[in-house]
This record gives sequence, C-alpha cells and structure tokens, in this order.
Amino acid sequence: MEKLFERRNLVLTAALAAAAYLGFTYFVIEPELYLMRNYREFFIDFYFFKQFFQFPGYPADYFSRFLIGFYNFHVISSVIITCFVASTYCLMVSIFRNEKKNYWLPLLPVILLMSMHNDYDHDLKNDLNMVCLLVTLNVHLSSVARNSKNAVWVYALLLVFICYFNGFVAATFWLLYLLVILIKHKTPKSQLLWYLVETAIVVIVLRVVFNLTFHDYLQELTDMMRVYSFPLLPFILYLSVFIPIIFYEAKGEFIFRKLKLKPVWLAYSVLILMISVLFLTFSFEQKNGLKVKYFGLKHDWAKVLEYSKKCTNPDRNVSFFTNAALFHTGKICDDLFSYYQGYGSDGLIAPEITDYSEVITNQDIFLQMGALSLSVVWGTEATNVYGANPIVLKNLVKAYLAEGQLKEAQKFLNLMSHSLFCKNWVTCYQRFIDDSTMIDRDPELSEYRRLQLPQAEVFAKGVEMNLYLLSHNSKNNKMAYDYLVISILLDNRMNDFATCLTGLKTYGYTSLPKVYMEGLLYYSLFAKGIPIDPQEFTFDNRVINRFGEFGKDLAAARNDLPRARMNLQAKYGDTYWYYILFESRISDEERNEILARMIG
Amino acid sequence: MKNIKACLISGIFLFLMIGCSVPEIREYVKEQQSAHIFPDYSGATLPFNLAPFNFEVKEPGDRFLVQISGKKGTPLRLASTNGKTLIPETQWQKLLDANKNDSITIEIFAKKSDGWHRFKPFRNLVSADAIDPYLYYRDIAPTNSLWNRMAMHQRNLQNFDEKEVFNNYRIEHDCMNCHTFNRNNPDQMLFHIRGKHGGTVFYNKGKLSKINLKTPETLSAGAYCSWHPAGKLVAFAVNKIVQNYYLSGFDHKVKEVFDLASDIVLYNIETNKVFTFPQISSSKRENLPCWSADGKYLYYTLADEYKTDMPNEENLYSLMRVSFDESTNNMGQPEEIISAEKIGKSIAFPTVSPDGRFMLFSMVDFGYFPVNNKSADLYLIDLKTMQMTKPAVNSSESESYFSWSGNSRWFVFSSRRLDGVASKPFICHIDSTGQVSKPFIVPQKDPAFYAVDNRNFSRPELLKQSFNLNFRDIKGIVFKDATDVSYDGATMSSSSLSINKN
Repeated sequence: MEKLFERRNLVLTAALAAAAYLGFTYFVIEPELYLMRNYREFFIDFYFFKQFFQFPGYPADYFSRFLIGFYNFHVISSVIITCFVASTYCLMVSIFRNEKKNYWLPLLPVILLMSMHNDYDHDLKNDLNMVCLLVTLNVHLSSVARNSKNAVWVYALLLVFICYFNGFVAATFWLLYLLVILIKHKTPKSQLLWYLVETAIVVIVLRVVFNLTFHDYLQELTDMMRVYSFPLLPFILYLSVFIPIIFYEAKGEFIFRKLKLKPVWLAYSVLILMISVLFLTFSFEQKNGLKVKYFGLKHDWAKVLEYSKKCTNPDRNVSFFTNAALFHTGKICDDLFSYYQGYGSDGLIAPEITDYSEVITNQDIFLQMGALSLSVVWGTEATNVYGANPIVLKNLVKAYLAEGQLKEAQKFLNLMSHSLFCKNWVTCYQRFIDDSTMIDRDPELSEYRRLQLPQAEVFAKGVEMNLYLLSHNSKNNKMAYDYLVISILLDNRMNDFATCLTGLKTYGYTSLPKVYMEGLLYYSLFAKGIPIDPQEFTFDNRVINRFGEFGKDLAAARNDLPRARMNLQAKYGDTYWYYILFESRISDEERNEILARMIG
Repeated sequence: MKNIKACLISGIFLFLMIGCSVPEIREYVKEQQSAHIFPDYSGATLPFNLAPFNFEVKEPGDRFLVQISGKKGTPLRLASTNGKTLIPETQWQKLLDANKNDSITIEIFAKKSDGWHRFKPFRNLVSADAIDPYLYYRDIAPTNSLWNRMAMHQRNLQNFDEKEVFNNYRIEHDCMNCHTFNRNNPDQMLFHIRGKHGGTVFYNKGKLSKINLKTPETLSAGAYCSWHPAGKLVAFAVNKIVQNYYLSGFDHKVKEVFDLASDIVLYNIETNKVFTFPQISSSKRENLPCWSADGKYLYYTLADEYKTDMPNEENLYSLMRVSFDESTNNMGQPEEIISAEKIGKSIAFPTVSPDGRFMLFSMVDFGYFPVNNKSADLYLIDLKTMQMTKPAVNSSESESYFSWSGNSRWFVFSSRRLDGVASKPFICHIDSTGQVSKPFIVPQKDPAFYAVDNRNFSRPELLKQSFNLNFRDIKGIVFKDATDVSYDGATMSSSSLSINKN
C-alpha cells in the first residue's frame, strides 16, 4: 500500500480515485438532474456570444452554462465534473512542486468541491473559478521562479483576466493567495510595493471602464451565497487553498511525526473521509424529488410515481407531478391518497408560486390541461427567471402552436435553432409552421387544442375557478374535471363536492371510483341524501365495509388518537377519511366535529 | 517548401477575393415583385442621420448583390453569399447626406440555378428632418410578474453604439420602470424603483434625489407620469392596479391590467409636495396624464368608477383635458375630447408633440394597457382642428407607447408586429400636415437580431442629447431611504378626497 502512494505511483492512484469518482458521479449523482435546477441555454452564435460577455455577466458564468449544456449527455457530464475535480487536485499539487511533497493537503479543496457537487443547486462556475485561480497562480509562480523580468507585468495581466473572467470575489481570493505566498517567500518590500501599485491601477481602470462600485462587489457576494444551503460554502472552497499554503511551512512531515502516523494510514483516513463526505453530503431526498420533476417533464408517468414513492418529504413540484402522473395513468381517483397530499388543493396546481422552480412545473401542467394562455404566462415568467431554458422554450412553442399562433412559435424556434442541443427538435417542429394543418394531426398538439376553452375567460386567482372554467366550458376536459372534484375534496368543501359529482356521467364515469366513493360516504355523514343515484354506477362494496371499520377503529382509539395514528395510517393511510382527519389543513374545530360524526 | 507556402497563401487570397468580390451582372431575369427582406425597410421615409438599415434578403439564392444608389453620391454595391447586407456606415452617411429631401433606390439581385434575378427595386425617401440621435429604452423580458434581469439602455440612432445605463443586477434585482424625460431633454428625468430600494429617482439638471411619492392621502406612489414643460411640476397617476390572466388562448389574449381606482396628483419638485384638484381626483378613474406642449392643459384619460365584476367591455377610458395655470395654480373644468362611450373603445397613453400640433394615442377594445392587447392601434389627433385619424401604420398586433422627436417630425412607438411576443421600436416620419410614413424598425448591426431577440424594448424615448448618468452616479441615492413627500391639501375640495377611494 505504501508503495502505491509513492511518487511514481501517484498518477495511478490519482487515476483510480478519478475513476471511482467518475463512477460515483455517473451512477449516484446522475448529472442530468442538475439541469432541473439550473439550465440556461448558452447560444453559440456571435450575436449571443457578444451579449453574454457584456459586464456584469462574467464570462465564467456563461462558459459554465455552455458546459452545463453537455449535461444532456450522461457520460460527458460525468467526465466534465471529474475533470474539474481532478484538475483542481493536480493544479494544487503543481503549485507546490518545489516544496517537500505532501499529496494529502491539496485534497482539501477537492473534497469540498465534491461535497458541493452533491448539491444539485451547484454552480459549475465555482469549479471554473477554482481551476482559473489555480492556473493563474501557477503561471505567476512559474514566472517568479524563473526570475523573469516580466513577472510583474504577467501579474497585472493575470489580475485583469481573473477580474474580468471570474469576477471580483474570485480576484480577491487570488490576491490573498498571492499575498500569503509572497510574504512566505520573503519577497522584497520594493517588489511588494510594485504589486500593490499594479493592483491599485488595475482596480481603478476596471472600476472606471465598467462603472463598478462596492455595491457590485457586495451583490456578487450575495449572489454566490444564495446558491447553496450552506451559504458560505463557495468562500470556504476558495479559502481551502490557504490551508496547504500555510501548512507547507510545516513541511507536511510535521503532522506525521506528531500523530505518529504512517502515510498509509493517512491514505486510509483520507479515503474514508472522502467516501464519508460523498455519502454524508448527498441528499437522496433531493435527488428523488428532482427525478420526479425530470420524468414529469418528460411525461414518463410510471417513473414519476416510482420516484414519488421514495420521497419522504415531497415539495410542491413533486406533488404537482405526482398528481399529474396519477391522472395520466388513470389512478388519480383510486390511488390519490397513497401519495402525499399534505398541500391540499395547492398540491394540484399553483395559483401563485412559492418557489421559482414552480414556474416551469406550472407551465407544463397548464399546458397539459389546455389552459394555453396560462401556460404561456408561466412560460414567459420562466424565461425571465431561468433565461433560455430549453424545457420552457419547447413548451412555449407547443402552446403557441396549439393556439395557432405561428408567428410566436416561430420566434422561439428561431431562438432555439441557435442552440447546440435543440436543432433536431427545431427541425421537427418547424414542420408545423411550414404546414399548419399538421398541428391537428399531431396527437399531442391536437389534444392541447381540443382541451382549450371555446372562448377566453378571465382567470381569477384560485385553482378552483380555473378548473371550473376549463371543465365547465370544455366537456372533454376530464383532467380539469377530476382536478376540480379532487381540489374541492382536498379542501373539505363537501357541498361543492356533491354538486360537482353530478357531472360524473358527462365525463364518462360508469363506475364510482374509490376516492369519490370515500368522499361520498364521508358526505353522507353530514347530509341527508347523496347527490347521485347509486344505481347508475357500479361500485366496490369493500369501500363501504372499510368505512365502517374505520369508524369502529377510530372509536376505539378516540382517547389516545396521536398514539393510534400510526396504526390507523398503516390500515387506512390510503383513504380520504384518514387524510381529512390527520393530514388536511382544516382547523382543530372542524377536525373535532368530523371526528365526532365519524365515531357517532 | 517556400513555394508551397506561397501557393497556399495565394490560393487562400484568391478564394477570399472571389468570395467577397462584387459581381458584374450583365444578364438577369427581371422579377415583378420586390425581394423579401428582413427587417422590412422598403418604402419607408428615413432621417438623413440614421444608422445603416442592415437587412437580410429572404429569397432563395447562393449569391446576392444589393445596390443602393441616389441621384447624388457614390452608389453602394454590396455582395454576400447569405443575403446579409451589412452597409458600411461612413459611405451610407455620405449617401444619405447627398440625397436629403430626395430618395435612394435599393436594387436586389439573387443568383439562382438559372442565373441572376433582379427584383423590383424599392425606394426610400430621405428626409432632411433630423431625428433625435438617442433612443432610451428599458430592456426587459416580456414578463408579467417576476423579474430578475432588466436594464435601461441608450442607443445612438446614428450608428450602432449602445450603452447600458442602469442594470437592476446592481440594485439587488429591484424593478426599474416608467423612465420619463422632459421633452426629449436628458437634463430632467425620473424613473421608479420598486422593491427593497423603492422610490422615484429624480434627475433634475445635475441634482439627484430619491423620493417616496406615497402619502397617506393618496392611493399609491406615483406611476405613469408627465413632466410639465416648465420643469417644476410632474403629473403622476396614482393607481390601485390589478392583473388578470386569461385561461385559454382562443382569443390570443394573455393578460389584462386594470385599476380598481386611480387619480392624478401633481408633484412640485422644488417644494417636495404633492397636491391634487377635485377635477383630477374624482370618484371616477383618472389616469395617464400628459401635459400639452405649452403646459396650459393637462390631458388624461378617464373611466367610470370601478364596480365589482365589471365586464372588460365596460372598462373604457375617454380622453379628457383640463386647463391649468401654473403661475396661479388654478385648474379649470375638465373637457371631454373623445368620448369612450361614443366610440365604444378606450384611449391609452396620449402623447402630445413638442410643437403642440399633434397628439398620438392608443385605442384599445377596453382598458388602458395596450402592450398586451392585440386590438391596440395608433391614432392621431390634429390638435389645431381636433380631427382624429387612424394612420396607415397599424398592424394586427399591439401598437403601444409613443415618443416624439424634439422637432415633432418623427415619432417612435412600440409594436409587437414582428413576432407577437416582444415589443420593438418602430420609427415613423410625420409631416406638417399630419401625413405619416411607413414605419420601420430601429436598425441593428446584425440584421438577424430581431429574429431571435425576445426582449422588450420597453418605453422607447427619443433624446436630443446623450443621457450621461451611470450607476456610479446614482448609487449614492439609490441605496438610501427615499425622502418622503408631504401632501398639500390646500387645493383639495372636501367632497372628493382621493383617500375616500381606499
């Protein structure tokens, strides 16, 4: 083992580690999921190129976006991430090529970078910044080591590059690294003064050229802190470079002697540390949530339900797609309460967003429901939040085509034709503009067209009004009808539920689905009659039996409901009755009344 | 080896020469139609001080030749293989200068498989009336409620220079809106900031301030506004705004903006006081103020009081005016210029020309927010004769915001005619009799720019000179708390306090 970590085997060791991380990235992280969080298309034409490079958008931002585009290809994305991580390590080692060798300390930023990659909000710009900082540091140190006369000017050029390409926060850290190295190497005061003067000139020139202020700097800091759940992570990453710089003074061996550790043990402990960091900082909950969204946007409903089951604490995006998947697989009226419905009717469609990521979900769900204008509204909002996100642009094109607004659809096709990754899609959809009669022959577009309202209606805030208008005016819109009934049921508005249920036949129901039947049984506790004639529908008698058993079990557990909840959940967790008593957002007063009725 | 290198260089040079050379066309097939070009500049009247109108020939062909000539000056001959016609700025300027008050002719040739084709040439009149050289606008996505990136830009119309004046990235992504100059003059300007650093930023002849225009007595902070020509007063609409969205796209409508209530207030920048008059703060909804060129009249729009669930069709605004004497601070009685009830339509964004002769406005089916309404068309009133006309410049898409050139011979307006998605600035010439020429879009260096750009050119404003402020200049006041205004109730009659509308 010791031999393995000798210098000549370093490459092999590093290659093995890189291969292991590549495997972790490919199989565990699945980088395509990053696209669900932060995908803004980078267009490669000169016009866009020029636009992207205007200040205050740092080129590193846009270059990282360009690379993120390749995350569409699973292998390439894994290789890109591994390359960044490996490059960081190699560059860190390279900075100290003249020092006594210690290959462990440079792993610190690598471990941090790995843990940052475990967060799907990760901004690849940090990798790029790190590599740029280390490359420029290497270049500068090389020019100093050669005692090059141009070292001072090289420094100025590198500083300008870092400021422009990576931004001022990255440049600040770069200056700090240099300062520490220069002091460590006991650089003459006159030379330090030169560096200081040059730094001042560069800062003043950039400030004048780009009208920079201290507030811009603060804004950049704030924006960086918004990305990760632990806001200081990017700064800790940059600071981690200091540790080796400072510790090299102790020549590395110091630690071994003090701790009386053989290098091989250190190797083991580093390995364990890395594996621990990788798995401890990785959130499978976040991954499952993103998988739901990923498959939801691809309309792979079976996969949505599969991953939704794995989410222990689903967010609203998960809830939206789960319910959409339940509808599209025909299970919404049977299996609704087998999935989390804690958001009530707000888990079906959002009248107002609580998180920016919901704009894309909203756009997609309104499109499926034929609320084309609302889909366009949310799509347009999404272009402002996410920029040219291909998922958003594709849905905008579909909505416009279904509406028959060809000029508008053409606009977004024009935009997407400049992308590296959407050309085939553009060619495919351009056919609908060239021959608009094809829209009616396309199953997806014609369905959206069929579902839309026969006349425009003003949208009043509130899910229910949307659903009512959509289902009421277009008798074929079964999705809107089911959503309407369920939204009312989730909000415990039983009189409205009874009214809506009278439309069952209109939407082709011949048998009473489980969820509606559970609602109807519950309704019968409060009302004298039921709104439909049961003779007209077939139904499952087991639901009636279960309702009776639920009442009995509830009565038995009435004195200690919190404790009995677990048992009740195991037995009746998939029923409306359990939902309304234990998961819905009704008041305690209402809950007590329901309880009394159910037991009574 | 040297010979090989020389041959290679010569070969590349020869290839480039052939590729870029201007062909001599002796034989061609005459087409009866003009060539399709994008953007369409055919038949437009151009100001002599306009940047080159680069365009793309949208005809099949593998080589193209565009010949631009006038009676005087050196003709321009521009060859390309992709139809993109990029006109050299200096030669273009010389050609326009030489042909002032005359015209230039554009001939387009395309080489197809059967040889060269010549399309029917088109002509552009070159006006000796200069257009104001700068266009100030807000660059914003065609968004409805969320924003995170917007900027104010200044474009030099005489060339392609463009600078970003303010970017909301620098004010923590707050919204910036309603930039308004006083008569094309960059010495007096204001814009609103909404959000964390909210307030109205005033730039008054070198002095900057940030004001909070909301008082307990008024409905809201100031929104739509107009500078009094004397530069001491600004009329603001104060509105209780609501937004509604359409569910489905059958009528191709997306969003409707309407007011539950609105008034007009006047702000005195010297005394830092807002005040109003019963005439412009009644129980009805006064909105979109615009001063006449001499400042003796305040034009505005007026709708009936809002009723719950009022149908859109009843939400109609008439065009009104009221006399005002700045020296005595007296306001006359309102006069109805165009009755919404009579025409069955609604008036929005009245804008008077600097010479006081004409007024432009939008007419929409209902409401006052034309930018999202495809029914919005541009109308003109000759204020001398009070005759209203609908110039032949409208499209099936929305025509919304207007700004006049300082000499009143040009105006720029926002239109969604290109793609129905985003508003772009179009320019028209208007002569002294009110004849309006065919609109043309502000030229861009890359002719394909408008085909892909999906941002709004919001509130395009023409400026006589460059607006030279930048973020560094305003940062001192942007991050400070806004100064509160005080309400001067002396002019209000007790019967119509606007606060009653709350």
